[in-house]
Amino acid sequence: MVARSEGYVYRPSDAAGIQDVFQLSRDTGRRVVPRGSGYSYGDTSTNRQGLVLDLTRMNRVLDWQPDTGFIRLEPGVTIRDLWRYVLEDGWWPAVVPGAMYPTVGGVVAVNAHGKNAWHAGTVGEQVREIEVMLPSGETRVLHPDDELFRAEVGGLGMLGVVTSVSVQLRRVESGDLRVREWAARSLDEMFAVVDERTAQDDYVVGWIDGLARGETLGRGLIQGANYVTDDPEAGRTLRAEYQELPDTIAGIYPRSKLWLLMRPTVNDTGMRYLNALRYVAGSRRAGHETLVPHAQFHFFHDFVPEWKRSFWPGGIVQYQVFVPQARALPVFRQMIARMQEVGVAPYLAVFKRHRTDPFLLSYGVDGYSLSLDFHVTTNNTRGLRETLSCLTDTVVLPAGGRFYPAKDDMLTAVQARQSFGAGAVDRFLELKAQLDPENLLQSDQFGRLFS
Amino acid sequence: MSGPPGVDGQTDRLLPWTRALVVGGTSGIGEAIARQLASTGIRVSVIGRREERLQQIADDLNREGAEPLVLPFAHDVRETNEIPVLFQEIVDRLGGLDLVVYAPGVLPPIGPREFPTETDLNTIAVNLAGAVAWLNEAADRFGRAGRGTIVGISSVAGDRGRRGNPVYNASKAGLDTYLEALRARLAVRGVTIVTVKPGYVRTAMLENNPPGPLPVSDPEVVAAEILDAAAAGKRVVYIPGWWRIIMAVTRMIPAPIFERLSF
Repeated sequence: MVARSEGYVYRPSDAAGIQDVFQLSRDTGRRVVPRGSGYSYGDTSTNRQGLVLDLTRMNRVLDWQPDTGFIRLEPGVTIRDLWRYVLEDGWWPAVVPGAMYPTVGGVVAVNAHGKNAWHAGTVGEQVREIEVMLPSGETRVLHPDDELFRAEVGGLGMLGVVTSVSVQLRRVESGDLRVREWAARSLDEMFAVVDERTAQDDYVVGWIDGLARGETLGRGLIQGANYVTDDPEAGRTLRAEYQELPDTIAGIYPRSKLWLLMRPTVNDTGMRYLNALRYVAGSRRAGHETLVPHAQFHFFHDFVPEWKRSFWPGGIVQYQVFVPQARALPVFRQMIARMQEVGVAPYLAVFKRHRTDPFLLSYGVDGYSLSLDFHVTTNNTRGLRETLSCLTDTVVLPAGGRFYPAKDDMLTAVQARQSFGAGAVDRFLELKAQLDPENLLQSDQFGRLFS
Repeated sequence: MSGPPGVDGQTDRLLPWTRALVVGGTSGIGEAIARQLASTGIRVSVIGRREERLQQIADDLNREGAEPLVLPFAHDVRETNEIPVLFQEIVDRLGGLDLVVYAPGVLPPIGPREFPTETDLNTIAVNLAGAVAWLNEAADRFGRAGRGTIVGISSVAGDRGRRGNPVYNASKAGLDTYLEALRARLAVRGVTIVTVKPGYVRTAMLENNPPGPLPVSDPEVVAAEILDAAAAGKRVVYIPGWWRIIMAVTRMIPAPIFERLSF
């Protein structure tokens, strides 16, 4: 059963409204969590019985310079709003996560990453300036050189509320990416192909069949995408309408109801067949090139609206780990094998390459990430989280593995200390005490990870 | 370490709630429900009039050194002006809420030629007005949250007005219609509302209502059936199930005949 949390939501449209919420916090003793679209998988933007500061109404573009690709935004602007705004001028956000509905403030607060993390870095590394409002009402303007900037990015909204974000975008000459797919017959091959592709492509992502066992463990497909510089139809592809998926599949079935069709396949047998099908289809097409609009390549999750509903009522647990190069292969093999062993194979497994980042609460490593989605059922509910937590302690953390807060809802304070590093956690808490002395900012996740 | 809420090593029963409020949890069906919820690890706020009963239940179910599972509150449902503040306090203390059960009921003995208005108004106050005051709070909160379960303990007695206790019948009929109307408002918003119609149950209420030849159920069994039905999202539940047929027949009896029947 998925844990939920209810809070009292306030949605101001300006900075004065944010201050009102802090005052309400003082008056009622209920603490405040900033929230964007609420796309974190766990309790990052929830605050049980507390105040939720929903920033989605603060969604204006404050300044846009189409010549240089420099844009200044309010925190409630979504990634979707952003790309739709700048695409026709020939720009695309340099780093985007796998869904387009999170807000700019949100992706900065969790320091999200995309399929080009190993060479472009995280969202935070594209940010040139932020303005932060502290609970006291004071506003600070921060730049990448400032220690506070490096603490705010990835700071989970706990050090103040970001009221504007200035980002440098990337010039694109086409609305398409050139995408090729490759097949890997085992985990070793998956690593090898990804290493080969990351030397040549702009975006690389691997999908692993979580139900393949034994010698085929870790088999899957790798997508490598490159920017297109010679697009004769740039005028047509660099438009929002070209990027968006049609509302219906084959002109008939509404995409918004696709999750209903998927529901019957959400079980071991269904997934085994689905994965096998996908793998075979993919390996047949290996090397073959297609042109895919940016939005369709990046925002995989949005292809099936409300995809999480096909996993209801139990929901999903996502477990994503970041492991340094030296230990990644054995750790990932152990993770997949162990979960298959206990009878809960991951239904979705995504593999990416990364590098370290300069921020205080960091999850980046010079290595790889593996993200596993598990379907929660009444049978496995009790054991699933315990098994994953055990993996964390016995396999992942000892190998120097780290966790990404936006996906986490089960890390303990002790585990968090190892993942972020004791020094980083202590410094973060020091800064929190300085910037929020009344301790008004609080999220369920913060309470779990840092108390 | 215990498992996630709703799961317990002893009962192994998986109920889909983590925080519950049982009004009228110090006797009868309400008490059985409160005890069963707490025994599966669900945090329960128990409301009742008698402090010693409240304390007894808390003592039985709260373990030393562990987080208390039972939060007792003394309250008389006829004091409806207390309810909004009490509801908010309970939600804060529990840390949330996803199940509310209204169980209080009185069944005073009424003579066949007696029309005791004061007693009757008290029956309405406990059986219906108290339910409205508590369940309105729950409906408002659950409607906004888009989730939650409300359980109203009514009775087969609400299905038709009989000569034995007119106002008891009326109060339960009123409760049935109120819960039906809440479903009309909230079902599309993801809120489950269950109308429970028990037959004869072995509780204090039976003193004034002899069952005659019909079987009597145990409150623990009734409570378990209620929780299962609520977890399954049922709308109207007769307990035991065959009462549905009896009442369907009873409702069909034409008035001129029914008025001459002695039950």
